Order: sequence, then structure tokens, then C-alpha cells
Amino acid sequence: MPDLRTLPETLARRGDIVTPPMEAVVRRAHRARTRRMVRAGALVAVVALLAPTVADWVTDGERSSHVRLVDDDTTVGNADLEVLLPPPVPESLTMLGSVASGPVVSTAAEPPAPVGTPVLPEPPACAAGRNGGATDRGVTGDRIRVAMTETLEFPTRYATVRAADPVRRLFEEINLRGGICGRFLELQLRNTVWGPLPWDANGDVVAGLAGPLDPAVDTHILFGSVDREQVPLLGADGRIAAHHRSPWVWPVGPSTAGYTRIAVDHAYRAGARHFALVHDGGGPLGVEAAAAFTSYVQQLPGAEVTAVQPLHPDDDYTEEAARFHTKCLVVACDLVLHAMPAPMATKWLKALPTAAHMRLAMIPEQLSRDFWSDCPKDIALSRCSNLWAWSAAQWSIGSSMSAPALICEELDVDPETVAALVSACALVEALHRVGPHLTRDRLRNAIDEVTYQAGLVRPFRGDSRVPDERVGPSKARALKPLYSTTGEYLRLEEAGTGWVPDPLPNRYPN
Amino acid sequence: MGEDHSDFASWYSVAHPKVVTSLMLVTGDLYAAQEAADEAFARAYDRWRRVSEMASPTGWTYRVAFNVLRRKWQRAGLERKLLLRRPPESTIPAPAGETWEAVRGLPERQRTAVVLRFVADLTEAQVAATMGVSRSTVSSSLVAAKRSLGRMLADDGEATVEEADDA
Repeated sequence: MPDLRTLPETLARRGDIVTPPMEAVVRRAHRARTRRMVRAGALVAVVALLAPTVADWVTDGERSSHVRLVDDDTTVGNADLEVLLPPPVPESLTMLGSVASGPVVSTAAEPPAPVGTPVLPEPPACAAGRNGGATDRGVTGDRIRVAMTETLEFPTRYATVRAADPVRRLFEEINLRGGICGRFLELQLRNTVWGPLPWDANGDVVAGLAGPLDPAVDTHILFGSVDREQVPLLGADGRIAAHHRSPWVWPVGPSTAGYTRIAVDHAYRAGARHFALVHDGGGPLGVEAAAAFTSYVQQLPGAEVTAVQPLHPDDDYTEEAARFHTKCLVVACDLVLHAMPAPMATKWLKALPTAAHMRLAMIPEQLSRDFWSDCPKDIALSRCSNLWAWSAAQWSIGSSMSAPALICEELDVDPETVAALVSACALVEALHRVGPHLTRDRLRNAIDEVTYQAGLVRPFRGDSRVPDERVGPSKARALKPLYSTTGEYLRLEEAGTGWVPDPLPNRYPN
Repeated sequence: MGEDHSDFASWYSVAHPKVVTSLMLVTGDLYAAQEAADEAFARAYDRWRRVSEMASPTGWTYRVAFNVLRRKWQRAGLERKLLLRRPPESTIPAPAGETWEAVRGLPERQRTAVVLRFVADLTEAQVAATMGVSRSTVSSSLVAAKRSLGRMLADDGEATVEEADDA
């Protein structure tokens, strides 16, 4: 058993713990300082807005409008105040260590930013009537129109409805604050299936948001419609390489190749050495996963590819499953990665004789509750519950976003709908930075600026590799389903992997 | 206006692995520990003049990191009670596996005390300040933990309150 005192050094020497260089510490400290300045500025603005009203209330006493809003028979007592105060920290949170303040070690409260801290450049001053009017298609003096895709003909329509809610709330909050440069944000849901892209170059939207679980988005990207119309599209899931090659698409997550490397790398670091892959033999998701899988496993010392099983939608899978299972018995498969559409995965899991002693992981084509809830109850606890899904979309907005985009941190989302909100938040921030002279080209450049902080991936624009981190975050974390003892699907929860980085970011299959 | 950070780098290179390892052993999550530690060290850098004058900059940084983690969990809205019943699968690297298996069974106060004392290498007084408890509480926690962990804890040469009383 290792000596505790030398454990940190041992882990550092092995590379399990990596100490970032000083430059990274300095950079991070600067970003945090800037964030505090922005928040302080937003707070000052709010106080300034409320000050006259508060002053009226204080000085006018019973004659103030605020007192009149209160029912004559009602008094604001302690009970009401308690509702407004933040709740006490639940006892469960102290389970991992007390964090009470003490006389020697200070609290973690953040002091005011020191004098001389650089201030974020302010966007160009603008307001209604002073914003240049109709500066491009989809933009007028008082409107910015944004379209969000939806699929009316598919059962996944519910996902768009759910994702549109937080996006709509975000736009409403922005509009309540006067919009952006005096222009109000307008969100329109547009059907994408069985028809052309629901906007065009001469059309009436300045940008598009990809709704979740929209099967037509891939088609429009793959067939070049999005590039042809040259309207920025944010929020494609990023799982196929085409999402990353279109100069007009900003995906919310790594490619399938990235996900594959992340899942394999995580398992390898946990001790896995025998890897297997089951994939869609015909679709781009499965094909790209297979290429990245075999390439990356071969680079890992001591690791080997035990089995690779392509599947096709119309097959039975009984024979393939039996054969695969035999291979994974002879040489125990530590990780079995699945890269395929969800319905194919359900069919495969049913055909598999057993999944005991295997870690199952999945890069689902779409992260939909239907897959988990449709898992047959007789295999839910033994197989579906053992299946982790890797997902990259996250809603944590970066440190230098403007005050309106910080609203995003307050909105509730779930794994199915977070991508839409991430892209909407990035769009809002980009619109804020462009200012009054809003055009699609200027918007495109501004989106590029915010991609890394906002959780998007910047298009490659013909580069096969981007050398720096500005291409965007390339990490994912695993979610796992929770089932009741009777096999009823309850929800997805964090699998405890934390955010795992792509060991080879910016590498995409050809 | 700039702070003198000339001694920050040397402290940081030694303290960073200790803080990350300590957090990891308390939470079972290496990646979250790394992220929270990086944030805490950035704050330490920003406030170095004040932090460097504290009795334990490492203890301060550990607690800031733990608070970062706690706020992150609150914001993410995780099912905390569920986690208490079913702790997340750990991301502990192999060399720390045995240690993790040993300490995860300790009550939370003992685990924190052990980790801060023997991994972060703080004195008992510094551990007490970091945890916000009395020194005697730390001492008794360490004694109880030693009974459970046995030979894993090398003799540290520092008498605890109980041992001193017994002498």
C-alpha cells in the first residue's frame, strides 16, 4: 500500500496528475478577474435602474407605488423574507468535508477586482433608432429573426418543443432588457423534413439554430444546402465530420472520432486493455467511429482490438451477436463501444446473449429518452443500465461572456435539449458583440470569437488540423440511465467520469 | 498595480499535486478535482499577497477548490442524496486505488482529516483551520482513522493531543 505522503508525487510522475504551466494559471486568473468586472458592471446597471424606484419608495412612504401594490391587509413579514433568502446548504453537501470559515484560513469570497484590471471592450453604442435599420436579411430596425429547426413528422418533435422553451425564455429576457441594439429577438420554429432548408440566402433569417434530434439537419449539411445559403447554423451535434467541415455550421460537440477516442481513453486509464466496437456499418457515424477506434487503440501501449462488428439495419443480429459474444469470452472485452443509431442499439442489445463483466459505452446518434425508456424490461437492468452514453453539450458559459448571455446559466436544461440552449447563448453573445451593423458575415466572425468560451466548435474551413485551442472544447462526459428495480426508466444521471478530454483534439477522419 | 508572484511558482509546483490528490481522495473524482484545483490556484494567484501571508496557503487553496466543487454540484442540480447512497464510480488512477479503497470507507470527517494531514501534508493546526474545527477534533479523528487504516499511515512523529496526554 503506498505511503500517503508520496502519493501526490507518484501520481504526478506517472502523468495521472498534470500540473498546468504557470502561463495557464495566469491566463485563468485574468479571465476570472474579467468575469468579476462584468458581473460587477451588470450589478451596477441593475442598481442604477432600480435606484429611482427605490428612492421613491423610501421617501414617499405609504404614498409610494410599491406600498400600494401590497394588499392593505397584508404585511410583509419574516415568512416572506425567508422565501427570498437562499436556502441553507443541505446537510448532504457537507458529507465530504466541513467548509466552515475559520480564524486563520479566509473564506473563498471574491474580493473586488483590483484597480487597473483590464476591462472588456464595450460593443458599439446603439439603441432603437440608432442601429442602422435593416442592415442585412433577417434584420430590421426593431427585429432580429432567428429560425430553429424542428421535425413535425417525427416522434422526436417533443424534443424541439422542450428545447425551444429555454431558448424562448432566453430571448424574452434579452427583449425585456431592450433587445440587442434596440432590436428584439424573434424565434421561429421551422419544419425541416421532406423539404428544402427552411431558409435561403435571400430569406428572412439572420441565423439558424439546429433543433435537437432533427434528422434532416445532417442531410441539409451533407448535401450542401447550408453552405449554399450561407446562413450561420449553430447547434448541430457535431457527430459527423461534415458538421465540422462546413464553414457555416458550428457544432456543439466533438466529432464521432473525438467521442471514440474519449471513451477509449477513459477506459484505458481505468485499466481496460481489450477493446471491442459494434458499429453501424453503413452510416457515417459508425464508419467514422470504426476508423478512429482502430487507429487510436493501436496507439495505446498494451491495448488491442478484440472485435469489430459492423451491423446493417435490416439484419437479424442473432448470428453476429453470438459470434461477437464468443470473441469477447475468449479474450475478455473490457470495453464494448457502440456507435450506431439508437434503434439499432436496442435491437443489438436484445440479440446479445449476455453483457456480463463488460463495460458498455455508446456514442448514440441522438441522445433521446426514447431509447432508454424503450429498452425491454427484461434486459433493462442487465444491459441498458450498464450502457453509458458519452455527451459533450454543456451549458456552462465561459468567463468573458456579456451580461445578457449570463442569463443562460440560470436556465434549466437536460441532456437532450442543452445543445439548443448552448447554441442560442452563443448566438446572443455574438449578436451583442457585433453591435448595430449586423450582417451575416460580421455575425459569422463574432460567432468564431465566442465558440471556445460558449461550448461550440469552430468550423475547420479547409484546415485539416487547427493548432491551437480556439477550435473549441473537445471533451465529453458520460451519462448513464437509472432504472427502477422493475426495469422502468427513470432518468439519465452523471456516470461520474467528469469531463474527459479528447486525447487528440482536432483530428478528424477523412 | 501588480503583486509580487516571485515565490508563487515554487509553491504552486509542490502544492498542486497535493491539493489535487487530496480532493481526489475525498471526492473519488480525479477530473473534477483537477478542474476545481486549477480554478482555486488561479484565485490564489490573483490574491497571492494575502494568501501567501496565511498560515497555510495550501489549506486555503484546498478549501476554495472544495467550495468550487460544491457550487458546481449545486448548479448542476445533481441528485445529491442519490449520490450519497450510490457514490459515483471513481476515476482514481491505479497507484491510488488501494488508498481510495481504504479511505472511502471512513466517515467523512476522518477521511478529510487523514487526507489533509498525510497527503496535503498540513500540520494538525492547519488541518483544523482548513476544516473549520478544533485541533482536538482533528486529533481524535486521526486517531480513529489510524485504527482503521493501520499501517498505511506512516508514523508522522507529531504527537496527537491524545497521545501527548497518554505520554
